[in-house]
Amino acid sequence: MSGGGDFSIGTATDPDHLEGIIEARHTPAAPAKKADGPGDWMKKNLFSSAGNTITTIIFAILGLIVLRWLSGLIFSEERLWGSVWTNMRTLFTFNFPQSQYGRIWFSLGSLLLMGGLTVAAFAPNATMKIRGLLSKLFGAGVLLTIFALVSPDLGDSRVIFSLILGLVLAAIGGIAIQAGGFTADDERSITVLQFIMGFAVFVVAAVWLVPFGRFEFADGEVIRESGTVALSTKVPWTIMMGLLAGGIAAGSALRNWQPLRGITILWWVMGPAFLIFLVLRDPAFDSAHLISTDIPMAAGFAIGGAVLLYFLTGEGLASKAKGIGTVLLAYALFNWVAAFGDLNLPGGITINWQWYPWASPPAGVEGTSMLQKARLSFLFIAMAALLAPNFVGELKTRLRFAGAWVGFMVIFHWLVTAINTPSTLENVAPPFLGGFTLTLSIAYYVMLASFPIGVMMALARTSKLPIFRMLATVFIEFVRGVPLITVLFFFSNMVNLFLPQGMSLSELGAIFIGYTLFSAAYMAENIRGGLQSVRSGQFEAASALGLTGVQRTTFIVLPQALRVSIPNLVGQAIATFKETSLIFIIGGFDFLRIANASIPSQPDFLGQNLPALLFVSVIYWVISYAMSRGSQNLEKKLGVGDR
Amino acid sequence: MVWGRKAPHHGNTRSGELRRKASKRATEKRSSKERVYLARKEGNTLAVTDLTSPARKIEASQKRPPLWRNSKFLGWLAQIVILLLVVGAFLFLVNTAADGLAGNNIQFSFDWVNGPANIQLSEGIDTNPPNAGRALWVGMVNTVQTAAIGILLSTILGVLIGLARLSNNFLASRAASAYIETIRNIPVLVQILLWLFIIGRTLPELQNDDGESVKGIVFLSQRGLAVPRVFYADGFYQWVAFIAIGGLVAIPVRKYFNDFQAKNGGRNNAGTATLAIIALFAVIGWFVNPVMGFLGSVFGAPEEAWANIPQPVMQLIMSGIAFALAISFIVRFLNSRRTPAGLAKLTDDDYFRMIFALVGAALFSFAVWVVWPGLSSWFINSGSDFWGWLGDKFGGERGSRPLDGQLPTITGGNFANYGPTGWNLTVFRAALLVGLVLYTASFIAEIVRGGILAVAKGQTEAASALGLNRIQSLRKVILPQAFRIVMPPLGNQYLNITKNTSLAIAVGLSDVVQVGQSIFNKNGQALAVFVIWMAFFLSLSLTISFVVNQINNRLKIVER
Repeated sequence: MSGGGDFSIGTATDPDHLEGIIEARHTPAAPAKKADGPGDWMKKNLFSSAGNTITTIIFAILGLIVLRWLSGLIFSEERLWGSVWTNMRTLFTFNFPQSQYGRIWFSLGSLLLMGGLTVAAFAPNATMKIRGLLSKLFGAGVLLTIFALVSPDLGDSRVIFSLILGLVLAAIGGIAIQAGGFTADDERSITVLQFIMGFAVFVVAAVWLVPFGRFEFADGEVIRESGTVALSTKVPWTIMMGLLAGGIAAGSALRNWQPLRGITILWWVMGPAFLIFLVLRDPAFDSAHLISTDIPMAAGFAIGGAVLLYFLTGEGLASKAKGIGTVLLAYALFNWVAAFGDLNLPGGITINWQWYPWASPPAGVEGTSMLQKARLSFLFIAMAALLAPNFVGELKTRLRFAGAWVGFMVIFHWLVTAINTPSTLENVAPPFLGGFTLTLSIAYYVMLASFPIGVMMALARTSKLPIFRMLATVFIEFVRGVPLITVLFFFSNMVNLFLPQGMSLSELGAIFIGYTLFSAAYMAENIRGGLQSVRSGQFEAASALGLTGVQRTTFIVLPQALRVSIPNLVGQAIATFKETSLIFIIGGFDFLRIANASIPSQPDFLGQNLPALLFVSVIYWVISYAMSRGSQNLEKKLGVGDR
Repeated sequence: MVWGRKAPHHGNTRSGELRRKASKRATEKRSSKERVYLARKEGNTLAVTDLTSPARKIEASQKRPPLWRNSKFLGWLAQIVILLLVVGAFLFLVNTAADGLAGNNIQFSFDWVNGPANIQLSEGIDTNPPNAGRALWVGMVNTVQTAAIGILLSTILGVLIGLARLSNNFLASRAASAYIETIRNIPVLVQILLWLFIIGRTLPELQNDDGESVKGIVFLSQRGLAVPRVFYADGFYQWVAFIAIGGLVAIPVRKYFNDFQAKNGGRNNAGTATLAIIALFAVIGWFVNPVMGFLGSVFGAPEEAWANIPQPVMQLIMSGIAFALAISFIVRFLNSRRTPAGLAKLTDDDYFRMIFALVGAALFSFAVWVVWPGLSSWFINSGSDFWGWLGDKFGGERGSRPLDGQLPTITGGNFANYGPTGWNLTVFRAALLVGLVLYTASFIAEIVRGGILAVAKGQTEAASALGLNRIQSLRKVILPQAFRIVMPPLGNQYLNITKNTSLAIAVGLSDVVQVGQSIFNKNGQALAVFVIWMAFFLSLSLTISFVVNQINNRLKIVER
C-alpha cells in the first residue's frame, strides 16, 4: 500500500538529522591549538597545494561576481526602497485600522513578554561562546566591506554607509578578539538571556539614535526627511523591548516556581488564539445573549462534566466509564447528523433529521452556532469519559482531571463565542488579519493543529488493527502524493460545496483546514519514524506492568518516539512556515501578496516588486534560520543523534 | 508484541509458537489492574494475591473473557465502527457536494474533456489546444519536462555544492555553506518570483518588430531564450523500430562477449559492442527506415480485433484479471507462510490482507459490470485507438526523414513558430527552473554531504593507502558508497521538485495545475479537475519512486 515517495523512514526529508548523526560520529579533530598568524592560516586553508590555490581563485572570482551582482540588485537607482519603508504597516498588518493599532502592540507585547519568560524558564543556562560571536561579527564586517567595495555604484551614499559600517564591525570584532586574548578554543561565554537583553538594548538605542535616510516617492515627492524614526515608532518599540527584558527578568526570578513551565506551555497553545480572536478581532459581545445563553451553557457543561468525570475516575468504575462514554459518544455523533435538515440518500430515500426545533436551517447564524458549540462539547465530554479510566487514582489526581476539564470548557466556550461574534473593527476589506500577521497565525496554528492529527495518523498507521492502518496509509500517501497547491485549490473552491446547507466556512478557514490536513500527513510520517525507533521491549515492559493501551501509548511509547522525531518535526515546522507563502496563489492577503501585488500596484511605487520581495525574503530567512539553529541546539541538548 | 508496522513473525518453529502465546497472555492481563482495584475495594486481599499466583494466572487465561472485555473483539468492533463512520461521512459529503453542484447547474462528469478549451497556453507542444483534454495534456507535458530538467540540473549542482562544502579549502566550504543556509531558508515561491523579476528586468526587449521575418540561431530577450529545435519527423517511428532490431541483435553479441570474458578474462567489451551495433543500425536506419513501413499493416490487425470485442467479453476479461490477480496474491501469500512443518499460524492481519484482496477484486468487478459499464467500452475504444495510432505512425506512405530541425523566426515582434516548432525557453519557465533548481540543490547538497561523511573513515584511509589520489578515491571509493546512502533521500527531493513544479501557476507557465485551474474557473468542474490532478501527480510520484527504488535495489550491497 505504499504510495509516492516512501523510500525511507522519516529521516529522509531533513538532511539536518543525518548531519547530526554524522557529526556526532566523526567529529573532526579540534583545530590547531596554536594561534596562527593570518599568513599561516591562509597558507594552510587557501593555498596548501596547486589544486587548492585554483579552487581558491575560482571561488574568489565567483564570490566577487555574485556579491557585485547582488549589490547592483540592491543599490540600483531603479529600486525604490521607500516602497518598503513606507509600507511597513501594510506589510505586517495589511489593512488593520490605524486607530486600533494599540491592539497590535498589545499582541506583540504579549508575545515578546511570554517569549522572554519562556526562554528564561526553559533555557536559563544556554550559553553562547563570546569568541564565536566576535568572529561572526568580524566575518560579517569583512563581508559587508567587500560587498560595498565591489558594488557597481560605489559613489552611492548608501554604499559608502555600508562600507563604513562593515569596516567598523570588522574593526570591533577583530580588535575585541585581539584585545580579549581569545584563542580558537576559548571557553568564555555569555548566556542566551544576556544576549537577548543586549539585543533589546541595541534595538532601543538604534531606534532613538540612528538617523535614517530620506525617502521619496517615484515622482520625487519627499515622504520624509532624514532623521531618526518617528515618535509613533520609537515609543512602542521601546515598550516592546522593555516587555521582552521584563519577561526575561520575570522568568529568571520565577525559575524555581513549579507550575511556570506548564503555564508557559499552556499559554503558547491558547494565548495566540486569544490574541487573534479577542484582542485583534475585538468581538462585539451581546451581553444580554451572553447572560441568557452562553454563560449558562458553558457553566452547565463545565460543572456537569466535572462532576461526571470526578465520579467516573473513582476506583473500580472503569467499565462504567467506558459504558457511559460510549453512550455519550453515540449521542454526540448522532447530534452531528441530526438537525442538518433533509438528507437525500441515493435511491430516492429522504430522511428528515430536523430534530431540534431551534436549529432549523434558516434560523440564523447564532442559533446554529450555539448548537455547534453544544455538539462539540458533547463530543469532548464523551472522549473525556472514555479516557477517565486512565486517570483513576488519589483524590488529588481526580480533582486535577476534573479541574482541567473546567478550564478547557471555559476557554473553549469563550473562544467559540468570540469567533462567532461579529467584529467591531472598521475594516476596508473582510480579513482582519493580513500580511505578516496572517502568515504567522496560519503557520503557527497549522503546526499546532496538525500535530495531534499527525500523532493519531502515525499511531493508526503503525497499529496492529488492519482497517485503521489501511485508512491512515491511504490518507497519508494520497496527500503526500499531490502538491500543496492542489490541496489548497481544492479546499478553497470546494469545501463550501461539501458542507450541508446553512453551514459555511470562510475561505481562510477552508485553507486552514486543508493546510492542516496536508501538514498532518507529513507530520505523521515523521512521527512514524520515531515510533518505529522505540524498542519493542519498552512496549512489552509497559504491558507487563499492567498499563492499559492508552497509558502505554501516552506515557511510554509516545514520549520516546517524539523525542527521536524532534529534528524532523522542526524541519516540518520550517517547511510549513515557508509554504504559507502559497496562500498568495490562492488569493489570500498574506505576507507575499502584500509584497508582490499590493505594494507594486500602488500608484507611487508602480512595478516595484523587487525591493519588497527582497525584504520579505529576509524576514522569512531570519525566522526559518532561527528555527533551524534552535532545532540543532535542541538536538544536541537532547542527544538525539547519540543513541 | 512488537511495536511497529511490520511485526516480524516470530519464526515458524514450535518455540516461536510458544513465544507468541506467552506474549498474548501478557496482553490479556490488561484488565487485571482493574480487577485488583475491585478486589481491594471489597477488602479481599486474598484475591489480590491469588490473581498473581501462577496457577490462577494460567487458569484465568484459559477462560475466555466476556465479549465486552475481549480486546480482539473490541478492536474489530472499533475498526468497523470507524470504517462505517468514514464511509458514511464520505457518502454524506459526496451527496451534499452533488446537491451543491446541481444547485449551480453543474453535473459532475468528465465530458468537458472533449469540449472546447478556449484557453491560450503560455507555452508547450500546442499553445492553442482544440479541446480541454488536449490542454491538460500539454500542461502535463510541461510539468514533466520542467521536472525532468529540474531533477537533472539540481542533482548536478547539488553534488558540486555538497563536494565544495566538504572541501578543505576555507573559501569553497564557506561559500557552499553560505549558499545552502541562505537558499534553503527562503520560501521557494518567493525565490521563483524574485527570479522572474530579476530575469525579466535584466534581459533586453525583443527587437525586429517592423513586421519582417528574421531568422536567427539564438535570440535572448524578455520573451525568453529561443534556439533551433530538433523534432521528430515522419520517419521517426520506423527509425526507432529499426534501432530496436539492432537492440535485439545486440543481445546474443553481449552474451558472447560476457561469456568470453568469464572464460578468458581480460576486458569486458560487451558494452562497447552493444553501442557499436546500435550506432550501426541507427546510421543504416537513417536511410533505409521506410522498410519498416510493413509494421503499419501489422498493427492494423489488432486494431480491428480490439474494436470487435463485445462489451460483456471485455467486462468478463477485466473482472477475470482482477480476480486472477487477487487469487495469485493469496496463493503467493500463503506460500510465503508455508514451512516444512506445515502452514504457519495466520494472524488476523493476514486474514485481513487476503480478504481485502478478494473484496478489492469483487468491488472492481462490481464497478465494471454495474456502476460504470462505460469503463469497459472506453477500454475497448482506447485499445483500438492505440493500435490504430501505432499503425498510423508506422504506415508505409510517410516520409523517410526521422528527425527535422527549425530555426527560431521572429515576425512582428513575436516568434512565428512559437509553440509547435521553434524551441523557446520562456522567462516564466526559466524563472521557475532557476528557482527550483537552486532551492532543491541546497537540499541535495546537504544530502550528498551527509552521505559522503557517512562513508566510514577507514575507506578514505584505505584508498589513500592504496595510493589513490584524492580525486580517484572520491570517484572510485567514496562516491559509489555514498550514493547508496544518498539514494532514498535524494528520491524524496526528486518528488519534491516534481510537486513544486506546480508553483508554475505563480509565474504564469502553463503547467497541469495552471491549465486545470483556468478550466475549472470556466466550467466549475473543480472536483473533476482535482481528480485528474490527483491521478496525474500520484502516477508521477509512483513512477519516480519506482525508478529510485529500482536504482536503490541495484546499488544495495549483496550480502552473502
